[in-house]
Amino acid sequence: MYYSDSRRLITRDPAWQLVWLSLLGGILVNLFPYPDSWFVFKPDFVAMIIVYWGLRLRSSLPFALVFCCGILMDVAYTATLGQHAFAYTVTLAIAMMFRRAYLLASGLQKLFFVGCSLTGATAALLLVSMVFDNSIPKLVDFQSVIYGLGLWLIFPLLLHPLRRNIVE
Amino acid sequence: MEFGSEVSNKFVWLRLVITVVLAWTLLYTDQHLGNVSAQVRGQISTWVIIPAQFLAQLPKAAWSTTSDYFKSRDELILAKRDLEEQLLRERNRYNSLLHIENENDQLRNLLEARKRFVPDAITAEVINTASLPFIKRIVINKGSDDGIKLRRGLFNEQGIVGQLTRVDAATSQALLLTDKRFWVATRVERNGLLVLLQGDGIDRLRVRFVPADAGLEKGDTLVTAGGSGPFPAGLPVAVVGTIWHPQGIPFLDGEALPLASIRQSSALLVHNDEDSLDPDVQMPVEPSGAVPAQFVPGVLP
Repeated sequence: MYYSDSRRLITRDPAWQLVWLSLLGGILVNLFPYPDSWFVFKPDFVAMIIVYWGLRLRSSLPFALVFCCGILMDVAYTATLGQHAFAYTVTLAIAMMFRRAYLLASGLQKLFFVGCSLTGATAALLLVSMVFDNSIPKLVDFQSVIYGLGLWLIFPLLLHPLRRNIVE
Repeated sequence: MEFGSEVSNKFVWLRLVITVVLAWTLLYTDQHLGNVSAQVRGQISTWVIIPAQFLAQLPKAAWSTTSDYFKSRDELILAKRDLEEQLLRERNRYNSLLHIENENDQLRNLLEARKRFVPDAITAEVINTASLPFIKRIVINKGSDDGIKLRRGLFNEQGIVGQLTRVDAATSQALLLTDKRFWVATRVERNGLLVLLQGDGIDRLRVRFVPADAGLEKGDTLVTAGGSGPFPAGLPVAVVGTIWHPQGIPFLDGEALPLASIRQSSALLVHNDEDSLDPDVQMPVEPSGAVPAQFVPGVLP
């Protein structure tokens, strides 16, 4: 147990089964057959869950676990093997880098850190796409970050039952 | 249980470097040793992804079953009546089509022309779309176990949708026609003019290599040219939108609006005729996902 500042007390992380379960849930939600009109509004839920735990867990989410989630998504999307694995590990690293700052930040600042982490995920996917598919990224490719940020406003409420690590 | 101690957190960057190196090794392997990764992919797909997809689709299936169950009797009677009327209309149309087909066959025999191609197709369903908008790809629920083969064309009742770029055991990936790497040879339905189309990477197609004086007009319907391509001849592709003639170039530039949309229907047909594809014709995207140099965006006017 340690104090991040005078107001927040970080106690202990949730049971590892719950974190695994949330990632599995994220994969299932990604695979859900959405109505076609929702197609453009679909952010990457697994990336969002990784960002959530990356910013909030006291200890590190295992990179191997995140990597395996990425491999599963690669197979599910029949993408090049390693594309999502790379993106998710980069996302986790960025989220962990911002963790302390996130805990001390106010509402809008928190959104900034989340946005940076989600942008990292998209940028990593774009990088792989540029190298192996010769595609040229456009600004519109980052729209899933906007939708992810919009969803983030309610996202912590969904995962709240799993969160026991921060007492404000 | 905690995931890692404070000490292990100090090695975050080391662990990141290891996983990133592993990811790029996998990417390279998948691109260049597709056969090896296909086996791994097949095993993961069979044991994890297919059960997960089944689970993810359960709510939709349950909703569909429940709503069907509670449909009122009146609704079903009305639907039956509509279908009977439709069947009658279609039967009349079918009879007239038979007559036209016979007449057509006679004319073609006279000209010693090849019989018009009848598409042999397998029905499939879209089970997933790519996770990000820039990836113009879909995943369908049919794979090599169902007789699906690489490079086949996908179409629905509105027109062509895309082309298969990866085939696994139970699923396949298709490049959509709006992807920048998608090229298709078409003909203008009105006058038979050959028009090459390329996806613009967003939601339209670009008109390529049409001579400025060829007579292409706004509103022309473009259909597949056939030949040795992945699609049978005569399938609707797009309608010509705005066209213009850039100065100093002998070709027209313009855009065409695709007629088929995967967002309106999840049911598709996979063109599966054995003899339709010429093995010497290179596809826009290699099975591994790499793009041949001549198709790299930017080398064309």
